[in-house]
Amino acid sequence: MNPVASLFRQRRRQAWIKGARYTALVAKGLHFLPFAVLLFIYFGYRAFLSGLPPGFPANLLMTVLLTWILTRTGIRTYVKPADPVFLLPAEEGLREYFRKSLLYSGIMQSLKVMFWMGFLFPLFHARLGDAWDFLAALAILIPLKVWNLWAYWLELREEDRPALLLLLRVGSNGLITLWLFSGRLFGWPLLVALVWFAWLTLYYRRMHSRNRIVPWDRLLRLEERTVSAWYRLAGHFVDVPQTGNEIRPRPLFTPFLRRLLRIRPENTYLYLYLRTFFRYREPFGVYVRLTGVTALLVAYLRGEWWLSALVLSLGLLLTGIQLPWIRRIHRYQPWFRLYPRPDMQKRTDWARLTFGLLAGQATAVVMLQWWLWKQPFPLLPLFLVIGWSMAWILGRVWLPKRLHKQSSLL
Amino acid sequence: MLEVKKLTGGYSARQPVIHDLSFTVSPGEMVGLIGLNGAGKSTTIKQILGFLRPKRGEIRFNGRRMDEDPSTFKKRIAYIPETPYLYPELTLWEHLELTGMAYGISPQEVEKRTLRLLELFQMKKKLDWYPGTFSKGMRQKVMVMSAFLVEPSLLIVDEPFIGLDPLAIHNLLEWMMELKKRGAGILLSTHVLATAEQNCDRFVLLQEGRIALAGTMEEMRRETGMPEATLDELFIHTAGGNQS
Repeated sequence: MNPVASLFRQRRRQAWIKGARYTALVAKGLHFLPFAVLLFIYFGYRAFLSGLPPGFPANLLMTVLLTWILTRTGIRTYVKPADPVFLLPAEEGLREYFRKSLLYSGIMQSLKVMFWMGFLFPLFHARLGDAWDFLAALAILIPLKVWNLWAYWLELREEDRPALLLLLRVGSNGLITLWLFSGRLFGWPLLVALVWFAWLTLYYRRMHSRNRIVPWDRLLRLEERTVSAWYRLAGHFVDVPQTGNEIRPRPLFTPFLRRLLRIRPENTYLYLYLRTFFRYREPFGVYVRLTGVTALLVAYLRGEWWLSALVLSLGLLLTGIQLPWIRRIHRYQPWFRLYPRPDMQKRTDWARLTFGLLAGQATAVVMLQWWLWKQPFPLLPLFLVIGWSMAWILGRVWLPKRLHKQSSLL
Repeated sequence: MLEVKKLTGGYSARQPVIHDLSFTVSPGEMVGLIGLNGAGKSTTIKQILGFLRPKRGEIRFNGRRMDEDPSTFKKRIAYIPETPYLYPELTLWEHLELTGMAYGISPQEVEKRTLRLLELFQMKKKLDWYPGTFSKGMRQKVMVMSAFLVEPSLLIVDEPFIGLDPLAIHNLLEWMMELKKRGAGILLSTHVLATAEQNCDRFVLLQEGRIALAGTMEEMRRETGMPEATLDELFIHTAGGNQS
């Protein structure tokens, strides 16, 4: 076998072994968290299904979710920074390498669709159709996912109009899933869809024939993003030395960052941590997403106050365990280790930031309920107290202690 | 000022990289740390900075061990590493502001010192840039500027010339000489022997983690019996000769 082509199999194997090792380590450190998450999913989903009003647009919800799942496509290539230099001459081997990568990604992405459809089956079954309809939907969605993967692979080479191509895919996926979940696909819409996708396929092929250069930069960036997302996740539970992350300057926050702190030695690490939080892609993104999701769930479950309080606490916990990364990322920076400040300040400044962020999150979640709840008193002030107490326990007590135990270098 | 006494250490306690090193850096003196790749220069520097724990021996700064008063020790030293490690999330200005903050320099003083450094290293227009857009040389300049901002009593520099343009090298050397005149000690690890010979007062030549030759140019010439030798020739004689 061509050595370059067999390289993919070898790298895939190594990645799985490494992933399995980290999973085992993470599983050891999770303690009660999986039970809390499962409990939350079980009660939350049950409450969601039983509380659905008769006119609830389940088809629209499924359309939005599946459009997102179909459009958002990952390709695992396992490429490494040295590949553009060392693999470039092996053109034929590279073709085979990427063919294997696409095949593997196609299988994994199809499994992803099956997983989400499996999760959504109770909703589908309750509102949209029987088991046969469900299987028919899968028979449409899996090939559609594979097509999306192929189209995305070609889009990676197209630097000029990524927004147009993305829009084409979102629109096409949205229309097909809307027809599918409204029960109107199998008939003339299917014919229209087939003609439309045939045209799109031709359009993509023509685009591809103009540009056959391997988009190394984008592939490397995507690979790094995938690996670092996994490392970051694992890094919340075990000590992971290498986590890549992208910088997003977010200039909107710059005036706020400038005014927030007084320039004095006592704020040295806080100055750095604040910028690390606001200017890296994650955990800022996770923070915003979890704030939104928690707010929505608390609003939805407002009938069961204890469940809402549990969701709020869980949201804060899930956000809190992302935040030690802000401190860990700096541990090998020589300056960080040489600043003439007490070592303890690294920890206390981080705890100040974490408490502030979690208290801010709790406040945002509770304030968003103000307009939704007809009778905000006395539960909402109580929620605020629960949120701030949780933020204090996590930010000032539990997480700093846990972080200190995990690494002796800090 | 800096006193390294019978220092043995490295990354693993069982396999030391440096053995029995003893040397000093006095105020107003520049000492060149010279050696082949892997001779132990960077390890010696890491030991001095406290990144590695010595297996044997001790390091004293103004008569006190680092672990006796780490804050005072750290406050008076600055370090320019071989690889320019910057914070990708901070702009050039924020790097300098953070350094000033950590070392307790007033914001007005930071601004004053920064202006001069920016002019000197032609980085004035890049004040709001992030390191992601910097070349390797520019990154090195940020490290150099941050170290000089502190105006340290002891400057430790590991291979500072790699990646810098000729003007920046010239300015870096001038600034080091100015610092020296003001009474600071400088430990300079480099492979650029001609520059080291021109600027350093004394040398420590490392060979496989041990001191193979040390002293002023005159002392080393006497010891090797090469009265006219340049540093380059002394280095080749010592390192190359021992290898063969």
